[in-house]
Amino acid sequence: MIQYEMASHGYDDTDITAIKTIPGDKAFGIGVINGKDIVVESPETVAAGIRKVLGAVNPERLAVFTDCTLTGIKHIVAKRKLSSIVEGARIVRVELEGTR
Amino acid sequence: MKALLQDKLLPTTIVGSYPRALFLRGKVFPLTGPQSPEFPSFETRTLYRNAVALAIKDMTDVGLDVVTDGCQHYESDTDYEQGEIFHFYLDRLEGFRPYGSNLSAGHFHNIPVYRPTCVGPIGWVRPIFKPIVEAVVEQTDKPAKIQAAVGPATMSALIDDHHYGDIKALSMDLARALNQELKDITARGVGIVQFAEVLTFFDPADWVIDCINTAFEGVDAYKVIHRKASRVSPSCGARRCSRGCGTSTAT
Repeated sequence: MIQYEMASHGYDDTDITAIKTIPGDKAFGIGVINGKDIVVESPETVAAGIRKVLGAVNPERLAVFTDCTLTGIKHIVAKRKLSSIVEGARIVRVELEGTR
Repeated sequence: MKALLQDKLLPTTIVGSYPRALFLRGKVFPLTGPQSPEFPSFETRTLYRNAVALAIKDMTDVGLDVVTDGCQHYESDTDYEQGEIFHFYLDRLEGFRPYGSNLSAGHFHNIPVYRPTCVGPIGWVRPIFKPIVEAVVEQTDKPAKIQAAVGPATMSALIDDHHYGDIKALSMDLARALNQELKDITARGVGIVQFAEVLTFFDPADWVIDCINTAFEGVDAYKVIHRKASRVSPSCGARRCSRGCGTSTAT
């Protein structure tokens, strides 16, 4: 699996284009939480980022990560960011499973 | 992670580090070379394990599918916590000395963290992440991932080399050492291993890919490469990096 920060890059189109070139037998880990930002990403923001990457990687190859370190933010903020990862992934998972 | 991807869409985790518990201060692991004791005291050992337990509790509370140690050994109560990333692992290999000139990396210039300084052949002589792995597996039955160091290619660009005179030879010996460490981590019950190859210092070249593959060769775990800090491009980014993973046994 290749894991790459996306949230702090704003899910840039250049990155999306590059991700499309990852071989199909490799999984991709999307970073959805910017550890340099003290504002907690909402689950809806995380979900929107995941949806954008799903245009480049199929869902069976996708895992959801932070961008990088969380050591630079306060504990209470960090835990809420973790919660947004889980809730944002859940929103998209429900959408995907609803289409099957 | 492979099983998770098969069993559940969009499994969740973090790269590795999490804010440190306030009661844990300073260095956890002594940096006095390969002969360092695992912990400087039983008090430090207990404080460290409690901090890892709290980090895992938070990850478990919110429902992450894969937990980590939260990298509680990073000195994130100080301004220079990233020093642990560069020093902890290398200090416990043969071939390094624990002082040197100040480090500059990317947009960080002349920070008071010494450059790892290579003064002899690099070799793996002891388990390094063992106390970290033990703290994690004791606390959870969930799948766990260990972020094991900066990768050999990236690290070789930051090392002050007084021995090899050849960055490729230096990085390949680092890769062989990391390979032994990843096997040791896996043997202790961790099913997901990861290292960071930032790769902003080079155009990803075949020798970089060889390093990644050497580090992962024969490691019986799910393998993750963490990239960061630079925007990838179709011409020099994920495509080449992914080829590296593609030619290894990584899945």
